[in-house]
Amino acid sequence: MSWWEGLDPVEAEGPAGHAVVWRDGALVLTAHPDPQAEEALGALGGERCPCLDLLAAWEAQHDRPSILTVGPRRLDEELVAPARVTAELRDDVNRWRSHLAELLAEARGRKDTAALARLAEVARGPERAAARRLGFLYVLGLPTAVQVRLMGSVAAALAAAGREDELEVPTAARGGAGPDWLATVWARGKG
Amino acid sequence: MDDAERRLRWRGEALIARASSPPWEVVDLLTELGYAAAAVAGCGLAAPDVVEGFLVDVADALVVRGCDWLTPTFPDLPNVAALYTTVLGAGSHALASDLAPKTYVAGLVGELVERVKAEPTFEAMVEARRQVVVASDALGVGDEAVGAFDDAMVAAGLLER
Repeated sequence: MSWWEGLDPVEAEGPAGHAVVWRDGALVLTAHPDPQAEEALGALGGERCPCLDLLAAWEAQHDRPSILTVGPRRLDEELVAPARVTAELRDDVNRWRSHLAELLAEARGRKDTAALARLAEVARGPERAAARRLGFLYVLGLPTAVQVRLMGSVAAALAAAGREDELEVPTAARGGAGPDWLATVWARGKG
Repeated sequence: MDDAERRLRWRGEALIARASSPPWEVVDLLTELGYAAAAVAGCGLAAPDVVEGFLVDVADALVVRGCDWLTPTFPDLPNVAALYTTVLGAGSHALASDLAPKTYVAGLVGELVERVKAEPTFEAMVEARRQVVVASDALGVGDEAVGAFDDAMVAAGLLER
């Protein structure tokens, strides 16, 4: 039996005003049925919805303990990603992307495959790092009801990987006990 | 997980719980968290990248709890990690050598004493002493090293008994 069985779906508004739904242990972008295809278009310089950054950040974090360190300590605690910090990061990411898109277009126009490969190698790293930070702030901006479920996912993933010791402090800090408490109690909105 | 890493994580929890404190107090605690982190990683009790990731997470936790002023202080969050790296540099003699905590702290004392002698100000001495106190506490080695630091300061004529 999966840890999320019996848990109702939760819907929230994502960074672009689109619906973000947690259901059956997964985060789903209902306005983006094929996020991978959109990612591919974005990599070619197409317009990219911030929802994709949220999803990418979550996928990068789902088996890492960051959200357990950063996330709510109480079920009535709502975290606020400061608008100014988010805006600054978004500007950074957009600058990276538009600059990168221009360079890629130029290299493509000249059929310079070596330059394309080099650009992908050199510039994608910082762009992705900035996008991951931005996406993580978007995740932290989701309502607590969604975040506790995401924390349950991370806890279950860490336990499955034999990393229960990483759950000790986050669990105790929320007044719980036992390696499965975050997934079986906290994620259900009980503390 | 080593006890020292567990203590470090609880220190982070204590800091996050104080997120609504005045900025100077949060910065003080964050600095001490950096000192503790450097000590734990410096003698191989936790991997440096794990510790660095934890510090960035704590900084994120502060930012989403109202410490949005943190970003002007540290122009971007990775700079919190830079603080840690700077502090880690103070104990670089011990990095990757898995020194026993007492040996690590003794080395740290030697290095800090030399640094204070090179810049003999009251502020530099107080800050160095704080680093020794925090590192000793983080590693659970008692206050022997703090006594050694004080003795060295007295011997250098920077502190009166």
